[in-house]
Amino acid sequence: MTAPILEVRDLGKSFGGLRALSGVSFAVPAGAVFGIIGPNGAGKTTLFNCLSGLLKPSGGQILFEGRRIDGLRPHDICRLGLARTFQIVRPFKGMSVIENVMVASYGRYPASADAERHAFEALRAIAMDHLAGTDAERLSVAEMRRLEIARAIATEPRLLLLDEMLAGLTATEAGALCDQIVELNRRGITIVMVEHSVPVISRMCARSVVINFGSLLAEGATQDVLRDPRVQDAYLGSAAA
Amino acid sequence: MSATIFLQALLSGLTNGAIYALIAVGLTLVFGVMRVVNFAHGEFLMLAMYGGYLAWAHLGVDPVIAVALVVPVLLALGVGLFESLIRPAMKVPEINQMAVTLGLSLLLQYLALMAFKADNLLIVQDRSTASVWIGPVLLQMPHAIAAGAAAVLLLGLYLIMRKTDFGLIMRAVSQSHDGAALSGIDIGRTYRWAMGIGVGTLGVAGPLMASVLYVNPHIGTLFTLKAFVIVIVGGMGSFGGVLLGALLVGVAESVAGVLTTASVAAAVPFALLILVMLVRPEGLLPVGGGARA
Amino acid sequence: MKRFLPALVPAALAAALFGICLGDPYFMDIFILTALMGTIAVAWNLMAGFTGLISLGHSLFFGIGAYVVAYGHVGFGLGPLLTWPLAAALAAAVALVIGLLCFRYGLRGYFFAIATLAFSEVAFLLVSATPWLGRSDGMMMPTEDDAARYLQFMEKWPYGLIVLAFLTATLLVGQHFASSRAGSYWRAIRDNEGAAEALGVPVMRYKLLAFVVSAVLTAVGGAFFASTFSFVDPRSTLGVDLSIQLLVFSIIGGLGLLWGPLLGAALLIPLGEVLRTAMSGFTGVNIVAYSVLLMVMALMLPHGLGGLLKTRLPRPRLGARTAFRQEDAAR
Repeated sequence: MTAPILEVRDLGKSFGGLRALSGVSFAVPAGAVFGIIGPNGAGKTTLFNCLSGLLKPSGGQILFEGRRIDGLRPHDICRLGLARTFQIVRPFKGMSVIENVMVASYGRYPASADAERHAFEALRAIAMDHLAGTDAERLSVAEMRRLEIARAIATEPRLLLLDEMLAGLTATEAGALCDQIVELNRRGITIVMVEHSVPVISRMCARSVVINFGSLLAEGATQDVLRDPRVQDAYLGSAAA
Repeated sequence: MSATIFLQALLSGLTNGAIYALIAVGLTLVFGVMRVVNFAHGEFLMLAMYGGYLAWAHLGVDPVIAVALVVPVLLALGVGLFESLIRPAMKVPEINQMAVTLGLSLLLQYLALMAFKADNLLIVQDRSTASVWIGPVLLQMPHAIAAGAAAVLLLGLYLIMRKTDFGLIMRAVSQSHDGAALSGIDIGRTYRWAMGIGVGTLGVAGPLMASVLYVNPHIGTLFTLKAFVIVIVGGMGSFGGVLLGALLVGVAESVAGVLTTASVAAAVPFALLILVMLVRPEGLLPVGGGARA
Repeated sequence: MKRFLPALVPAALAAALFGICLGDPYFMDIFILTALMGTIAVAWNLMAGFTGLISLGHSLFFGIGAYVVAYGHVGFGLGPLLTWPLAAALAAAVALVIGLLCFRYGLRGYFFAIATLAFSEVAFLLVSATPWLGRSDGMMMPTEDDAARYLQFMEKWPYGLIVLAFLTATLLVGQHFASSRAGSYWRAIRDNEGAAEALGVPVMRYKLLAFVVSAVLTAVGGAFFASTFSFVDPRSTLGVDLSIQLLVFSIIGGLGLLWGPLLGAALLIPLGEVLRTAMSGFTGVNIVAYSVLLMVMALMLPHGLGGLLKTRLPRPRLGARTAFRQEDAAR
């Protein structure tokens, strides 16, 4: 196994008296497609918000490429090479698709011409370059998801966090998007994905963790994790019932 | 500053504060329920003051009685305001909302100027010069009446918000529009009533204040600004916070008035606002998200 | 060069108007006032329309500009060559402090607006109480022998020329920011701060940038005001009315456009003059008309007259990549 690109140690987050995450530890190997599974309200989005700096953890450490990033501001984390997408996609209004992506590429390329060129490349990587001039508000749901991913990869991350990227997509759209994620991974971006659909996770992710009630339930190879009786009880069993 | 002068300033600060609270509570109710700040709030107070003055000057109605006449008018004006301007304004961006209520504020000021001229008017009765001694300090009768009425009304509003279904609905909508809508609350109706009551409370304050303070067409702006300060100092949308903020502003202003010039004293509420923003940006008694909403 | 068209076209139109007004001192007065207020409104709109930060306290920066020039002249005999840059620097520092305070706590929307209003009110009231700043009576700047060094001219037109240069410079500066990384970040912040931050936008820094640029330009406007009229007082330079006027011009002209506020000022100020003269018997009729217009426009035309005009203008057909550039520039 390669060295971990992301390491989470004993991460905790509480809101007032409510503990949303406690004692979460896991490591993501560089180059992996890594899955995070868990029922609704298990703390997956809170975990992502802590990783990307939108929330400040109450305890524990987050290491990205061996460097502590917990407590850094979101834009600093992004500049370091850790990008994310949001479950609820909201493009910047009144901007075209490429202008949306340029907000992200400006971070590495301050000159407009360079930022534009790299934004265009990000759009091509997710097969959206034909929509570059379209008003972002006029996109379909599936296209908005792609835009969300294009914006994230335009920050040129080495690690990409995808939050429920397939929600609300048809099977065809989801399949196409999954293929593109695999392609991104092949180009060297480590992927961590929160996903509801167990089949998708088991198809795409070699390793996964399961979170329930804010704590880690299981970690390991996805097939083993899914066979774990505690996981079956807590999540899959009740979902199947 | 001698103890007596200080106590005198404290007392007049507290009575002013009670009146401020009555003015600010309507603003905070409207903001809490519909997230709209009404920049014309003070102009409705100005209209209510004229209402009280006219009732006294032309009909010989005592300002205390005039409250019963002015409240329904203001209530209707509030509902009318919601239906005519605020309802459509809730569909446009915040900055356009500001423009709408700022425009209304200007409109009402200049309509009042055309109707009543720029004269300063005051209700003067026998009891205007009467006063009561509270220990070593003096309280003028009109101030006592206005502050007393403010206290009664605030208590009444508090009970309505806490104990009745109507209050529950208001609070539910303040907490979450979507949640309230999902539980079957008629949001539009709630908005209408919030605006009606928010403006209607000024119907109590107006006539009573017309015997405390000269009314002129531009007097409202001052009170709008003070109400903003109070509401933010207290914590937007919090009932107890409004009371605390109002008393604090009233006392600070009045004590500063003794210590320095009138102009500096007038700056005190705003300085207080800046201070509170620095040390407690969520307000003194915040409800929910406070200033970050 | 092409990206500066949205700045150069309005500047050229303003220059043409300057030429027309050259013959008549009364018209020149109106031109000066319109260009000054319109330019400051453009500066205000860099915050409001572009970044989503609505300041109701911009008179503070105008006042800083005006009072630095006036006090520098009256107190120390300093000329504009020194006092104008000083005014700009002081405004930048004040904006930086206020911005840090407000943004650190995430004050937004109404809360930011009212906080800025509070700062300007404190300044207004304190200046009104300060003897060495002339209290509420204001300060008159004496006429000097060395008149040109103090920008004291007998004629109106030199002031018109200065304000024209100020207008052009403001538009160019605004367009420079709007069509570069800053503008892109500003609009992202306006629409969704969280998303912008997650995409690597240093939100705090760019909000401060918008605030400081806007404040500096506004202070230069205030400095110009003092030099032109040789007189400053709290009501005309620090009052809330001034701040609100900036919002009005921007709403009427179009918030989303660099030149929108200029259009608003160019329509409303001369219109106000006409109404005031025509209805001199009825005080306030002009303001009644004005406020009704404001309410109707704010509700019916959220993009202002400029937005309306822009959609009517025929747009050249270009490839997607060039087309977005044009739009970007026009915004």
